[in-house]
Amino acid sequence: MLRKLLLLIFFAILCAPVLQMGFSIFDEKPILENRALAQKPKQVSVGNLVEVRQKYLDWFNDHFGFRSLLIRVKYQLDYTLFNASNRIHIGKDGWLFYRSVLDIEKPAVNDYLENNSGQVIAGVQNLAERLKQKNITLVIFIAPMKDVFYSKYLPKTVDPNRDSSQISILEEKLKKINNLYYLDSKAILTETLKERNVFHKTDFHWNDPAAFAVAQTLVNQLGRLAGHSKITWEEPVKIISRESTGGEANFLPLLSPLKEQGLYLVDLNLPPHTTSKTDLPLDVVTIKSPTSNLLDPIVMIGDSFLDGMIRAGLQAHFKKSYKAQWNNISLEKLTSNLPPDTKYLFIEFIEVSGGVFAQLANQK
Amino acid sequence: MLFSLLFYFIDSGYYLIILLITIIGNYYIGLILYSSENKYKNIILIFALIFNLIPLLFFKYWMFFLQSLNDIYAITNSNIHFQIPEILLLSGISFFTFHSISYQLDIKSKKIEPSRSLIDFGMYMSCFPQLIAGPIVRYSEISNEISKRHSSLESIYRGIYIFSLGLASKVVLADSAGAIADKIFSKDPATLSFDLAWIGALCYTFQIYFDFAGYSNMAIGLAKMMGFDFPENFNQPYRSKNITEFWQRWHMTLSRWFKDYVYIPLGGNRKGQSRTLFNLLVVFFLCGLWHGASYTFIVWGLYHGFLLIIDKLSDRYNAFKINKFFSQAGTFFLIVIGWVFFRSPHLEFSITYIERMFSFDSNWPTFDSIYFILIGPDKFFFILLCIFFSFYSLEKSSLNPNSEKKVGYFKIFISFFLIFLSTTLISSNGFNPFIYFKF
Repeated sequence: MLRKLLLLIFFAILCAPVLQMGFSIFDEKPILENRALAQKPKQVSVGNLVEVRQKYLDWFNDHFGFRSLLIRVKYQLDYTLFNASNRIHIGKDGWLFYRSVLDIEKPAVNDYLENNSGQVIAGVQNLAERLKQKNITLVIFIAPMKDVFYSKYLPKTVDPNRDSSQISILEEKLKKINNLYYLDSKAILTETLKERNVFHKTDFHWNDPAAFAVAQTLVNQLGRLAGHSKITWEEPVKIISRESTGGEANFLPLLSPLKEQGLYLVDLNLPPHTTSKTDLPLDVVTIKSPTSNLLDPIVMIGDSFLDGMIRAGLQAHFKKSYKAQWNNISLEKLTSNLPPDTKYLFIEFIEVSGGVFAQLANQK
Repeated sequence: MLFSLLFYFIDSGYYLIILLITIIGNYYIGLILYSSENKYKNIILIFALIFNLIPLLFFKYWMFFLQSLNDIYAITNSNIHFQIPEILLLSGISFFTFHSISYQLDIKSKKIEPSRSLIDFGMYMSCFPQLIAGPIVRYSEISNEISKRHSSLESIYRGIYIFSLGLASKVVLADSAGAIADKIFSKDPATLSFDLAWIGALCYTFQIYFDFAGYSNMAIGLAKMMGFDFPENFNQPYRSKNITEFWQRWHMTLSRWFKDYVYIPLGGNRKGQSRTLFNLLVVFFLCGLWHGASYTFIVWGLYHGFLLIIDKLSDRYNAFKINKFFSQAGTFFLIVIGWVFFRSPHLEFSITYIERMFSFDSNWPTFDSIYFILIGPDKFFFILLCIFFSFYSLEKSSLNPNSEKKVGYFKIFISFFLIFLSTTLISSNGFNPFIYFKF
């Protein structure tokens, strides 16, 4: 009797995914995947049955019931039994590192720079020269990845012989370019690291206090260049610690995501301002009653690391700031259409942005 | 049968028509062959063989044939060059062609009577567990079961157990080894160090065994649940003490097909030593060619053919008598070398790869770099399992799927656990096609 019952239970369990697909009995938290899932084919008829059958298979493979749960179980088993994952390098003391960043993107950028750093430098020089003629100061900031500061937490699954020396070589050359203010990310963050962490353990990004340190340095350096006698940005910020789960932990993905005590800034409010949008598109923030301590208008292009600097209060120190994102506009289009009141062009990108290096190399 | 045909349609689309024509054609040819007078049987048989071989020759070998002609003309500096058309390789064509040929040959030699029901015969030809990648089942083995099979609770549990072992072999073991093999075989072989070349070859050795044996067990298990008794296809071939034994343990249904329908009709070992050795070479040439339309498969087949010849000769002259462990190690070594041909995309690749396997160069990475970076802790564990299950004798083990004992609660638990584990892996890794689906 028990054997029959076990068999019934077994076949019932086999039917469960199909029932879940059909009736969504349980809520499933989706998995973060770096791809679009296959969609259910539409317009199925006898005539196109053969073509849609593969699409149906693909859709089924991406949507069968309990898929997310089964994937989480698999990664949980890998993590618990082997302390391993094929998506994330699991470092010491809870530090996580995207495999794609360390294994693929960094080596790819290193290879690219080995062959093309000359063009990149030339492109930056051309851009700086062009901007100087319009009385615009060019500022470049290359955001380093987490492993630069936390290599002691890297696991043995990271190739110790990986070469990422080309970026350092490039940075030294960038510092020597006339008409360019190169914001030295490593120096700033190394200094900040003496007091507190600069990156999240479970997220790819630097934390907001680190972004604040870089933003503050940028503003104060530009203030010095502009001849301000007082320090432009000297107000301290309040840092708090709270439990959080970053993108890398969610990408892992476990039954219960890994957590950390992340560092955050207490909410900062901009002084009274207006917001608008240009056609390019640029998001514009204009301070309503600018004081003499505020810097002239800045155009910024960046990614989520720039967003961290903005959350830290960067825009409060410019009379006007225009913000663009890499996935919305090319560098060529931006530099050809700078607003007439631009005084600074701030280019921020992460060190694995091969596409941005290529865009810089193409500057004439 | 309808479900089997639907299964084939999902995989191959309108090429199902080829299978249907094969089923209907062989059904009627079989009836005619059986009822015809003796003087016409050979002609009808020849017609049956041509009828069955034409789709196989076209879909599988026509491109290779044209390419070979181009290669010959290139060597002779001729201007003739054939355009190679793109022809899709039909799923399972090698397998269902062999099923139908064995059916006709068994009718001719009066080992079986033809099926009197098109549905029953279609069931035999299209039975979905073995349709795409075997085992190669003879009609005589399941003819009674098609119409009168008996399925019991015990056979269902046994089927589930065998199926679960097969699924886990494929998804857990084969795919883990395959991930490493693929990484190494994707590199230029000239850049490989001695150790990486061996790791790649060994990983592929395990991959192909657990992939193919896994599929066979899945087919056997599913069939058992439905009341069919499919023949065993693998019997821990890497425990073989010589190549002859290897071919008695590896893809057993293919080996016996070639033995019964090629080797014995050619004369087997009854026409003197020279003819025996020649027959072996022919069989293994065809065996290699059956696996794929490529020079590498032919070389692999001939390689095993020559090894068998050496085996036969050493047996005859009582040479190379060494103890069991060294026999097994030596045989395994030879098999691993052979798999390099099988895996390589072309002949030059395999030759360069094998050269690297014997280069003994000093580029020896640390254990850490192999364990953590190349393989990973999880796959390393599964590769250890591959080694264990390849060499540890399962005959007397409680895990033996062929044991006569009833399937107890321990095996039931193992089955459910393996199916669950495999499902988690399939969900996260997608599903890697079976290697033998390409044949």
